[in-house]
Amino acid sequence: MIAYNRLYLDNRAVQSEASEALAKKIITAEEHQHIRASYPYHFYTPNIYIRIGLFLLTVVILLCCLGLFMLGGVSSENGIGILLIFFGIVSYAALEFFIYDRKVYRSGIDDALLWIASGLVFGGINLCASHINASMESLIIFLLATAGVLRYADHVIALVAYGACLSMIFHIAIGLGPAARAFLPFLIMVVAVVLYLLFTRLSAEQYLRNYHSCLALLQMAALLSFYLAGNYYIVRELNAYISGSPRPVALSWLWWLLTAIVPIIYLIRGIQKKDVIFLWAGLALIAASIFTVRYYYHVLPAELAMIIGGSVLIGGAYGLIRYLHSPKYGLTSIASGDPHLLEKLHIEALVLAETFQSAASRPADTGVRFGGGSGGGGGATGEF
Amino acid sequence: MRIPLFKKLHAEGLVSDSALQKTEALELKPLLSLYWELRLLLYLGVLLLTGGLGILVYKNIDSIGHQAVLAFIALITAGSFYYCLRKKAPFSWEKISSPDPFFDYILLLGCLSLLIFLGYLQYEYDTFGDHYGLATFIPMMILFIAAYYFDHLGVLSLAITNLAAWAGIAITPLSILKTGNFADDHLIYTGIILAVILLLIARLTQQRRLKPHFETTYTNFGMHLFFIAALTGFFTHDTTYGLLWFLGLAVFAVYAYIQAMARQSFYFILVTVLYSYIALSALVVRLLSAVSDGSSGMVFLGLLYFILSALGTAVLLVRLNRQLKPHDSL
Repeated sequence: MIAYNRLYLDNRAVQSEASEALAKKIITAEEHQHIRASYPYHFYTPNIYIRIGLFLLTVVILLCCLGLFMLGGVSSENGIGILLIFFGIVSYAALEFFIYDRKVYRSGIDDALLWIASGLVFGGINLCASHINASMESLIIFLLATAGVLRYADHVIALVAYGACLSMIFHIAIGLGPAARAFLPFLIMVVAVVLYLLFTRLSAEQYLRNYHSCLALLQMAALLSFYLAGNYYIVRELNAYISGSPRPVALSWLWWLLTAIVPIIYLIRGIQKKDVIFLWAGLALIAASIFTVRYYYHVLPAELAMIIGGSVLIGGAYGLIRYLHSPKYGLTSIASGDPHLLEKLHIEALVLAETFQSAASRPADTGVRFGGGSGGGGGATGEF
Repeated sequence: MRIPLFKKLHAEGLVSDSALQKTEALELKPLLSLYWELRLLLYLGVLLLTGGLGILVYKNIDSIGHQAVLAFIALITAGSFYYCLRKKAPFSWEKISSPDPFFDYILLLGCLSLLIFLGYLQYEYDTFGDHYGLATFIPMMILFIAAYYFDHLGVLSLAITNLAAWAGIAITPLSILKTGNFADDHLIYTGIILAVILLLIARLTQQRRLKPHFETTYTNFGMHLFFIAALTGFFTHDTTYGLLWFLGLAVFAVYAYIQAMARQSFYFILVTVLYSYIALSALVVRLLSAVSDGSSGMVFLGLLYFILSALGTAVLLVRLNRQLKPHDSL
């Protein structure tokens, strides 16, 4: 199913686990070397900067090739559409060739080829069949993106597939009449819950291990869409968009309740289950809820809200970093790859280890590495 | 998921018993690190607070409450700097790690609120009068001193941005040699001069070991500034004078390339290659449009150029990547 060499993908996963274990001082540098030698992979995966460069250049090459073909004098809409589809298929073929022959993996080349190929095929179909409706368009995007995810496990394409799926449901429901429209938010929420459970189930499957990061993103997307489906602002605006008249929506208490409660539930669950996905969703959505409330009720002028919010954030983060400095409830404010942390926390593990194998070579402590954080940010590059 | 993997590795004799036990202990008692989450919140808090203060000051100018506002900002500034002075490690020209997790953010808070404070003073009481150069110079100096004294890369970036603002205001009127026609060129020359100065500082920083880890920041600003200034010069002049800018850019690109290879930096390689590629493509497009007779032949040539050149550049990037790879910290 997946285009990339599966043995390499597995070995790559092993190596990255080993690197993490090395950073946590679970294994020694020597063991790490042995693991790397026993689980080799030969993908071409350049540094992120080279990846960006290759991505841009591949896009330039493909678009200019397309331009050359266009110069050939195709003028009818159908002709251009067919040309686009043909070119998209050629791009897919090139993608397969690069993956098979050049062993590219997340190299910028394969990313660009996949995006352009999908985009061209979609554009071509759109041009050829000139009068397709929105739900049909969503379906085409959904199919193309799903195929892209299954074969290439691309993260962003996975999100596109999810978005297209929701958009399809949305447009079909609108077409079904007022009753379906009224139930639309509930429908989307049910779909989000079902898909979340499905993604969670799937990510436990061993044979889908190459899609784990995609599934994690999809879980996040499902959580976000569940919230958005019940968010007061979204419900109100979409209702206005569908019915064409801006007016207060029914059940507004329910939407306000959901807007307020869902982020908090996410946050609590994230902390309870040590689930980063829930945690991040909760944090981001609390901000979204605050914006929603402020959009309708100008409780405070913006600057005062910013000052109070900023102070609360600083105070809260300060308190939590302090409080969690020594871990509580399985939470900590210290970086995870930190040797300091391991030593402090897993004394029992170390004691165990020492009793069982006193000769276990423990690498010298490289010193305490927490704190820091370069502060980041700070401005434009070329201001002159 | 990890335990089976480590069991397998253990069975293959690749990891020791202790490693397996440590992994099992870790998986049994998972620990979620909120390191980055909390830091992000702290950073957002600082940005929100200072942003809010800035707007508050802006809106309350000329109103009754402005002195209270001023006092409040002064209080935050003083408090932040007091905290930093009390907590800071002894000064050294080498890299100092921050004494606690909050230090960096509180320093940032202090510096940003100080900027607002000085801006407010200038606006309300005209502290620096019409000496706009001075009005930007003093905050800049304070930022530089804070960056070096407390060892903070973010504040250094702020200081360099301020330096650019100061140079944009203070240097340009001095170059009276040029008159109205080349108004834009003032900025280009300022940019070039500033870029060269920044690159020289980067050099000195490295050679004299004066906070050597600041060097990357200086080089980064300097390189972008030089490339952008030279590209602007090239784009805004159609004449041979524009070609001179192109030549200047080419010479600098060679220098930047040597530097990037010497420091084994993918980032600087990419920046150099992409800016050079943009300049070269602009030159080719200009030449083609100069000889164009309106037929599609030139468009054809142009597209062909882009395909081949992009292909060449991609191959170049891959080659350079391979050259640097042995030094890549994997």
